[in-house]
Amino acid sequence: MNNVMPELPVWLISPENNYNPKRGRVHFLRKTISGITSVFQTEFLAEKYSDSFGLLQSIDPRVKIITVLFFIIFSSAISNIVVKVMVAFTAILYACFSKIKMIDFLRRVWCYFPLLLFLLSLPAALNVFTLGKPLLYLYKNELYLTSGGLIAAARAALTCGVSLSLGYLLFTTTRMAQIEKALRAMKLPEMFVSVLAVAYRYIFVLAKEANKVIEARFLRTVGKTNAKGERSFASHSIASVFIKSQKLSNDVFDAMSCRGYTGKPVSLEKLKIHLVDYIFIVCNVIIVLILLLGVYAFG
Amino acid sequence: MHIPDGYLSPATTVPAFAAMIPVWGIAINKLKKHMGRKRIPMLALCSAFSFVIMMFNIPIIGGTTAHAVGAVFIAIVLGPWAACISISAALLIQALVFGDGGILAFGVNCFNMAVVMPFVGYAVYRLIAGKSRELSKRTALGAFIGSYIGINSAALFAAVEFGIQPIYFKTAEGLPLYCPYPLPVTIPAMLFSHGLFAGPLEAVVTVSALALVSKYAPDMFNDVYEKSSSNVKTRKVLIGIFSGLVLLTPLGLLASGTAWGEWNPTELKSMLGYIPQGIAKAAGKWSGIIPDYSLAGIPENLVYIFSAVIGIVLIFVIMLVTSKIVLHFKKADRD
Repeated sequence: MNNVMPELPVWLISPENNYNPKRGRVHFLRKTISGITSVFQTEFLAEKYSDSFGLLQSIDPRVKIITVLFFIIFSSAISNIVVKVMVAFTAILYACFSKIKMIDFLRRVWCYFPLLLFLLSLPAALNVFTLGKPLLYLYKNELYLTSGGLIAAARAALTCGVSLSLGYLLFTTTRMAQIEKALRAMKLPEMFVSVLAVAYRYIFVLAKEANKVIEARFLRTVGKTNAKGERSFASHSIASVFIKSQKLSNDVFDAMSCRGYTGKPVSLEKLKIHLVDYIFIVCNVIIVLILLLGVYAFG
Repeated sequence: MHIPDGYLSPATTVPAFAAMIPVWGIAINKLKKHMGRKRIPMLALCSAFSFVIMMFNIPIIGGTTAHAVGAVFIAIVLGPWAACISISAALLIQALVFGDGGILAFGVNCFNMAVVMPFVGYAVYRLIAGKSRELSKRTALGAFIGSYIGINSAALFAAVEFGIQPIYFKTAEGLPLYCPYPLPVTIPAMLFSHGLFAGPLEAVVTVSALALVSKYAPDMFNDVYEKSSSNVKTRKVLIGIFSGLVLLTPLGLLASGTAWGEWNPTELKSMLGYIPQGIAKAAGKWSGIIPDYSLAGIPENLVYIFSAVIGIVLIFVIMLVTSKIVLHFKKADRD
């Protein structure tokens, strides 16, 4: 869909399900539709940014994968909050230099999972779990949030955010075909990479099929439905998607065989490390040295 | 159950990833033998299927919704090895593309949802269903109990992985570095939510979906039954893998103490027997620039923030220069 018109705005590919009654919970069908729609939006944004003329878009995918993995392990292994914030800023700067809209980046990376993890970790900041200096009294002098507990919650949220930022940067600045090539060049099992590549392409096809089923049901649903009926509908839809997926796999195999597939994929373009990739590596080495200095200074 | 980065230490996630490599290797070899050239589209579509069903929000008790994983369903229909590879691929796409589940925690997530869940669920299913080849009350019961136990076993493993973090990985002051909740909290919390809500949902979805597949596509169901019939050799391999994993897990726990890479010169000395000359020199130089990390009359916290800002500005300048050079070369290439 997005290959045809990459400039298609997000609002145009969203279904018209903006009716949200003030009272009552969100219906499971609407929730599912919006979940599936977000898949297409993610794909759309990825296509949009991987074509931009930015810093990360110009780097070899293998170098990018190794750099991203290094920063994720580094940020997970260090405990200092200030250095973690510095790594988070490094990712934000990379997003800026790769021409990624800050609103897309922040909304996707920092507004959900890290926040959720922080909130989930908050009860652990109570003096019941973590002893330490009282920061905020919740009940008389007996129940309070400790500063150490809050730092631990922030640490988990920051690590999660840094990892999400770097994963997002890698995915949005690299076409999936390039990631596949890089994984093959890095000697990952051929079968796993092929499964990954075909699965990624067909997620959108199957999601579209599932969306059709759910939307058809949503449009015909009036009034209240009982939970048992809803569960049985969902189970039947899952079975129908499975049957479709297996039939589709036969069609895909036939199509691949017709195009000369012998069990080994053929790539027309080979990856090559250029001068810019070496410059990028040197840049990252300097950044890591600055961060290490931070680790040493902030303890 | 998708564990994000930040709740597990690298000393847990890296060994888990290493432990997954032989499992993937065995799975790939098994599937190469049994599925032929058709395996790639079949497994890929199965992977796409498991991805899509995780987006189905299904109502559960209490008015909330949850999603099924479908690992035991795939294991019953296509075999546990196929479930292992297809769910691993789905988890990687989820982690990389959608940020659901950590990148570093990918190995642990695969272990829980692509190994423990399908294999335990499938073993229970086979135990109850026996060699029955069509959907009967017995096989339905096997699928129900198998999927319930499968998801709860995966939840139990996740709870243990979370719960051991505050025991082994904490700061010098005793504060948790990763997941702050201990085992007495994580195990009841995970087992309560999965035992009461996600477990029954997974079981109902698996049985209903199997019933529909056997009704509308019986050939698909029976055909795979033939392929997935277990044998003694497979069981031995499974027992071997699990024993290996159980033995490997404590290796990660040995790395307790200070976070990796943050050893001070004294700790380094105790580990290596000497302090590397570079570190000894750097230690002296740094304290020369900002002695005790505090400037006269300025609060320590402000010095921290000031130093961090300087660091970020330096990183910005380096990135700006790199960006200019890289884009200049790329532009020249394009022209």
